[in-house]
Formats: sequence, C-alpha cells, structure tokens
Amino acid sequence: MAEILETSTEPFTPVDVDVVTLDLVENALRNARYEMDEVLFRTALSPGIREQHDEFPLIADRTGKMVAGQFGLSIPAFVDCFSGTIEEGDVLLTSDPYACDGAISHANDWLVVVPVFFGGRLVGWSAMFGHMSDVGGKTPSSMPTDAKTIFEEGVVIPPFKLYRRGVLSEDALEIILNQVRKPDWNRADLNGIVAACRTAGKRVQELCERFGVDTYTSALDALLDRNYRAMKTLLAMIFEDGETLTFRDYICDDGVGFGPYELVLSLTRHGDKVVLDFEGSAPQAKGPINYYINDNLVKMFFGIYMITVADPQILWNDGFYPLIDVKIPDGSFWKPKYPAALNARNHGIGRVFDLFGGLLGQKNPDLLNAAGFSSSPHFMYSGTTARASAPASGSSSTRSASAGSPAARSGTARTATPSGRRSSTSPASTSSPTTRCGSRSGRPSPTPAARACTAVATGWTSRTTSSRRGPSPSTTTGGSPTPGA
Amino acid sequence: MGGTSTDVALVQGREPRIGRETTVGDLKVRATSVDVRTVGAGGGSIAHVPQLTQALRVGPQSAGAVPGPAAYAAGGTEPTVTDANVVLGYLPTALAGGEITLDATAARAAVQPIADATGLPSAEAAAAGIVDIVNENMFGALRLVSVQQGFDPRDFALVAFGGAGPLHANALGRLTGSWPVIIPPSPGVLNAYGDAMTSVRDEAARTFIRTFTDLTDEEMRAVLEQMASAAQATLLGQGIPAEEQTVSFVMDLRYHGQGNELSIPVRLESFEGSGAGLQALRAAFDAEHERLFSFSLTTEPEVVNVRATATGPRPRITSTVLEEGGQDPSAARRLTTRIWVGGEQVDAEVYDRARLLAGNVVRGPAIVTEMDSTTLVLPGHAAQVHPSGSLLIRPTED
Repeated sequence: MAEILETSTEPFTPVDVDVVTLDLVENALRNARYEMDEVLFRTALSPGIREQHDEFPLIADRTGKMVAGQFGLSIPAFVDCFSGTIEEGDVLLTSDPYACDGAISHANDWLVVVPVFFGGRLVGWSAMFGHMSDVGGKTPSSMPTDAKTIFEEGVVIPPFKLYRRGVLSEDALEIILNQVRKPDWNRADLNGIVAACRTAGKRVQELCERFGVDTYTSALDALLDRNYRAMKTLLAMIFEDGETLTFRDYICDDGVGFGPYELVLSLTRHGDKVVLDFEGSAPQAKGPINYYINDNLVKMFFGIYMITVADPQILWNDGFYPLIDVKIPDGSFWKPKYPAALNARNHGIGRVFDLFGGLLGQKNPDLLNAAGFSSSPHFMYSGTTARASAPASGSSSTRSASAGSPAARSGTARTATPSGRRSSTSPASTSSPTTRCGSRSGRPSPTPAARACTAVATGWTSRTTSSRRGPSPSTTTGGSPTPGA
Repeated sequence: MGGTSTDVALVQGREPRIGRETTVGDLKVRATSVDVRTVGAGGGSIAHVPQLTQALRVGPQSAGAVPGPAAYAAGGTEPTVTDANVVLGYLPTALAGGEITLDATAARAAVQPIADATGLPSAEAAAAGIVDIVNENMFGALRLVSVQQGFDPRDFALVAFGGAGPLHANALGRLTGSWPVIIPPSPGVLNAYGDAMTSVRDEAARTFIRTFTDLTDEEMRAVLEQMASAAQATLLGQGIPAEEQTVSFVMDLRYHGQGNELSIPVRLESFEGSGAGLQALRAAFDAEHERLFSFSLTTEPEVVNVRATATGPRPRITSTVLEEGGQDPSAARRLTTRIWVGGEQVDAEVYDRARLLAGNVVRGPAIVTEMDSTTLVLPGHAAQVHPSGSLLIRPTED
C-alpha cells in the first residue's frame, strides 16, 4: 500500500457551504473536466483520441471519490496496490487492467493518475486514460481477435512513477515506447494526457485558493451528498423493495470459435440499497472479448441512467456509490482471471448498456431501448509507406505502421515472465482479489460458434456512437458516458 | 451579453485572435473567423431548481424576447436573469428611454419560488444567487479564451457590451482580475459601431501540406507571395491602391499526425533563403505549443495552410471626445435608489451617462443608465469617465 507524503498535517475543517457556492464549485469542476478533454484532443496524434475522443477524464476528492468525470477508477484500490510513496509532483502510469481492478479494461488504454496538493496537503486527484492506437503485440493496433492471453496484446505497463517529484523516468518511458509500432503517437498522446491531468490539478488548486481549502473540500462533500440523496429518493421511487429484475443478452462468438456467451444482469432493491448482480453470466471467454468491469464503473453506468434523467445538468459523482452493491462472479466474463485476453472487450461494453436498457426499461419505458450498437466496428489499416525505408528521423511519417518495423526494435520485447510480473504488483491488495491470482480458469462453454454472429473485433467504443442510443440527455454538454476502448 | 447568450473573444495587442474552427451547435465548421466562444447565459436565461437535487440552475433555457422575463409583463412567469437584476434593484423600472416599463412585482413573484425551493432566506438572496451563477457561466467562457489559451486574464482589460453586459461586467472583473473593466459608449450597439469603423480586408488562403524536411525557404516564400498577390488583387478591385494596403501572413502548423493546427504569424522577409525562416518558424511553433499545452514534441511539424491578409486603410471616422469635467459627477446624478448587494440593501446613486464628463469618477455602489444599457458599479469600485466616453471600472484603494 502506498504511503502519501504530505508536508502539512493541518486538519481540514468542515464548513457550511451555501447552495450558490456549491453550484459555483460544481460548474468550475465541470469546466476543468472539459478542459482536460480539450487539451488532449488538440495535441493527440492517435486518430482514436483526436478524432473519436476515446479518452476519459476524472477529478476526485482527497479520498479518491470521483466528483467530476466519467470512468470507474477506484483510487483507493489503486493506491492500495501501489507500493511506495506518492508525493507532490508524482505522475503514475499504468496500462494493466489486472493491476487497477479493471479501471481500464484493456492494454491499449494508458491510465495516468496525478495527486493534487495544496499547501502541502493532498486535496484531490486527477486521472485520465486514452486509447493508444498501438501498444505492440502481434497485430498492428494491438487488438488481435484471436488472442488467448494478454501477452499477445502488446506491452502491459504496471503502475509506476512516470514522473517522480516532477522528474521524468526517461529510461522507463524509452523501454515502453520501444515495444510499440508508432512510438511518436504514444509519446505525444501520453504527453497530452499528463498535461490534461496537470491542468485539472491546477484548476483544483485555483479553486482552493479562491474559495478557501476548507470550503472547497466541504463543497465536494456536499456535492457527493447531493448525489447520494438524489439516488436514494430515486431508488425508492422506482424499484419495489425485494423485487428482482433480470435481463439477459448474448455474444455469439469470442473470436476463436466459442460461443454463445450468455450475459446476465439482475437488480434487487433491499431497503435503501440496490444490488446489481452479474451472477449467471458465462465464464470467461477463451478469446479476447472478456470485459473486466470495475465495480465503480457499473455503479456509474447505473447512475447515469438514473440521475441524469432527473437533472441533466448534474455533475454526477460517486457520492451515491454506497447505495449500490455490485456482485461479479470471479472467473466470469466480467471478471476474468489473469492472464485472460481482453482487447476486444468492446463487445462487452455494448452489452452492458443493452443489459441496463433492458433491465431498467421494465420499470421505466423512457429508459427502454431496442438492442443497441453492441459493438462498434472500426477498421484499423496498416502497411508501410514508400518512405519507410528512408533514413529514420524519428518522426512518425518515417515509421512503418505495420509489423514491418526493423527487427532490432523488438529485441527487448516480452522479457517479463508471469512470475516476475506478479512480484511487481501488490498481491496483498484485498480490494482487488482477482488480480494476479493467476491460475488457469475453467474452460468456457465450448459451444461451436454461431458464425453468422461473428463480430468484427477490432473495435472501440465511440462516445458519439454511444450517445446516439444512450439514455443520457447530456448532448448539450457533449459528453456521453460510455468508456471507450 | 445579450438576451439569450454571451459571446466572448480575446484581443491581444489590438489584434483579435482568429480561429480556424467555429463551433455552431454540435457542428465544427473549419472556416476562418474571430475566435468567439458562446455560452447560453443571457438576460433571458431561466433559473430553475430540479426537484431531485435542489440545485440552483441557470439556463441554458431562455425566455427569449417572447414571452421574455416576467418583468417585461408580456406573459413570462419564469424567473430569468433580468428578473433577478430587477429584484436586486440593478435595473431601473424604465428601459430603452422609457419604451419598456419593468414590472418589479412580477419579477419578485417569479424569483420567490427559487428561494422557496433552495431554502434561501429571501427573494433577494435567490436573485443574488442567480446572478452569481450566471456570472460563473460567463467566467467559464472567459476562461476558454484566456486561461485555456495560456493567457492570464489579469494581463487584459475586460470590455463589456451587449445590452446586459455592463450590468455583470464589474462582477466578472472581480472573477477574472481583468482591470480596468471598460464599458464603451452605447454598449448595446457596439457591434454596429465596429462594423462602421472596420477596414476592408481580404484573406487569401490555400492548403499546403508539407513537412519541414520537404520544404525550403525559397519555396515557402514563393507560396506566401502568391497568396499576397491574390489578397491584394481583391482590394485593388475595391479601388484601394496597393500603397494603401498592408499585408500580413499566417501559417497553420501542426506536428505531423495531429488533428488540430496552431496559427503562427510569419514575416515574408524571414524566408530569405538560408533556411533561417523555417528554423524560426519551427521555434515559434514549438513555443506556442508549449505555451498552450505545457509541452512540445520532437515530432516533425508540418505546414497545413498558408494565409495572406491584405488590409486597407481605416475609414476616416472621428469619435466624439468628451469635455473635461473634473472628478465630481454630481451634475449627472438623477436620483438615489436602494439596491441589494453583498447581502444587504444599500443606497446607490443613479447617473445619466449622457451627462457624464471626462474625468468624472463614479463611486460604487452606483448605477449608470443610458438608452441601450445599464452599468452597475459595485461597492469598493469606481468608474472613471475616459475622454472617449468609456467608463473604466477599477477597484478603489480604500
């Protein structure tokens, strides 16, 4: 478990925050969150980020609760898994879904986490992940539809300090970039993500300056509480106590010939709380369609369906999370065991929204959708350009986009062994019991594939695509909440 | 700030920032225009309190001109920003030289439910909250063109226009730290004034995608000259002789692989053949990227667009200069009114802008009225009348 180093131990004093100040802080955080997007869109080289906006930002309070943003990073779990200290100026990077409890769900997503300090005290966190077009592995774009382990899906970065007290770990970065086909793209996009996180950190510091740190932290508590109260009311309004709702969906093929996979989501209200249970879902897939879903992400999806409909301008946050329990069977499609392949889990993301639509639509026809996009195929083209043989200048235009890169470049790839990898993360984490427990899982239901349903697995979710069918009426603010690939 | 929205832009060294992309609704249009950002915050923006969260929201829905704010007594019942300003006493009950009479009772009746729903103690407190939130929305837009572009708003003055702008400008100045806050004469029709004052200009542009390694100074110079001739020819066609034209150049650059370009001003003379022109361009581009995004890349840049703008002379229009009148503004004083500010009712002097003279100092709390707008000067601030007629609002020392 990481130790957070603060240079001031002065306690935070809770203060009353009036409704207007609260809304000012809410607005300012919303602006900061969109500013994170803007910084990355404008600097990114990867088409997936710059055109399709496949990136997701988050601003959290001191305890790691998300107050603005749209993905399910559990900062406490992340910090628990990280051994060492975390202090001002540090920037953490990972691309290992198994090391962050599925906050990111395939190795193409690079996740950056930055602690935010004010006056020597930790006041929050900013984090963001973006989909790198290529992270190495056996196919360009790193999404081999026939992968059976994560080792085939490119470089998997364990959580580490990309910056230690503001100083870049250049060696580590070079080793990582040496594994990928378009290092310039990854470098630029990573720079953009870090800049976006730092921008958010700066905005949080400015808010502490403007309103006072006690008012800021108290405002966050009140914003979290606002979501909690809203959700509590909604749950009691919509769901009958003790009643269980269930919906089922299917994925026909896992890319390596097995299927169909049945996916189940049930909802039951017990008093104030609701249980979302994935019990009954198929075991993990042999192929790469597994969607390692984070509990918080499930709660967030649910919240988007519920709260945003009631107050479209709300900045939903994880204040209501204590009202939701999520149950995901270990070794299932939703919580596969390391080292299951994950790259094509976009099919799972599509199904989650179909499951929620089908489930909640039973109580509220406004939320009932026809089966949705379920996957969003994108075609990744690769090849060599005429200039690939020209003298290298380090620019992406002279790099080969295919596996035809100079063989010398792959010399250091895949030297890590599973055992070595296990030791590099914290197995002591109790909050993510599935990480790296590593023994081979049971076989998936080996039904012959229904070829007619075969999907194009090289895909990622687009926000614009999902907003077309999503329940969120947030089109005026431009963000629909689907996490991308 | 108008009835439904607020437009903001940044002008640096008398040059407005030109954007290569405009967002209209959800659509991005890649056409050159002044980089104006818009937020849905105007006098007609409606305040509401969603039952579930009990948050105070302002806009983006607007009462528009019809039915308009409740105070217009034209059938509107929902509380708008204008109604909040009426409840606070910032707007006189007769607007537009008496053409519009405001119904203060209707405004109060519309705002009171906001107080009830949020638990705020009075209609005034709710109105102040509505104004604070709409100011924050505008502050968000101002940040888009300043902080988010790497500019510190404290290095700039804030010019307020549109019918509703001068009511909110002093408060926005406090948020941005942009002093002085400048209220030009006739702020409600400033755009028309600007249109009459502007120079004829024409921009010639072409797409010219080329990485730096594939480019020489000579080639670059030839393309720039070609663009200059095209732009100048248009002005010649308007009867503006070449010697009265000035030509400036801008190139849009990005790192190869990026999807957005940054505009870098260049001089024709720098491309004199030694390669120094391209070198300087690269350095300027890296610096701009770093200023905006906090980092630059070693990736090779590429030129995307080349633009030349030919500008004709300014139209010969002279502005009025106000007669010097000393610091005391009392000759322009109309009456004393009660306004709600900082949580209490205070006396505020009301001045007639047409009678203010150069050098007059209007101390807040005060209201300055004119045909097309109303200016609020907050306590702790003073507006000095510039010879051009502009009001310059600054915090007072004492």
